[in-house]
Amino acid sequence: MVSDGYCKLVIDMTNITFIDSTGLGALISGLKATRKAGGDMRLACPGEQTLTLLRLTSLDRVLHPYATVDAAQASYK
Amino acid sequence: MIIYETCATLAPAAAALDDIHALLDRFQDVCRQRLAQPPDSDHETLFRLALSEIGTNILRHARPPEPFSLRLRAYPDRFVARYTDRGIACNEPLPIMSTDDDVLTLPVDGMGLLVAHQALDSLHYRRTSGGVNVWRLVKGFAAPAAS
Repeated sequence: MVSDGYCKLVIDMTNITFIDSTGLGALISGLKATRKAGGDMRLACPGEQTLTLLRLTSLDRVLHPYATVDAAQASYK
Repeated sequence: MIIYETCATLAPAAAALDDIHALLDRFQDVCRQRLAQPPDSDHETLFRLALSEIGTNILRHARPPEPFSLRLRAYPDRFVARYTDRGIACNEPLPIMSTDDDVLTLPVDGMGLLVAHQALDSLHYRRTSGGVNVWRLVKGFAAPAAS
């Protein structure tokens, strides 16, 4: 998506019930690609387990979670 | 005093991760009934995360040539897990958590041991003289303060 010019992404985590470091690595990879392109990547509707992992790794500093997709989209405006 | 113990032999394939989660589901169900003061959901989540990370690490890096085993034990104040496998020895040093806010320096791979270490009270690895990798994971849960 980033190579197609979309560099401000929202990842809807609604259906993610469990994520480990493998999934986290994929998110970091996406975040790096968007930041290199001058954009950003934000998470919408992360569950408690996802939030726990983000806090545990201190990645909540750079992968900002939002309660809804709309809120994440609005944060770009 | 062991409150409850269960174990499983796991095939060295990706499906083992589903089996680990299923075993842990049953283990935690029993523990909620048997423990006088069971852990809260945060402690359960962190223990599950660490078990998943070490299981993934064994499959990816140790690549055991035969089934490996997982034993789960509940004590009144802690969960203890032990993985044993006959795969490749782990010589990976524990990674250090970056305090750098520069996103471009963040690792995208190899964070499993770090996550497990952060999630647990204790993570210990040893290689026996017989060529067995042994991982010991401990997650304590403090009893609520008396009122």
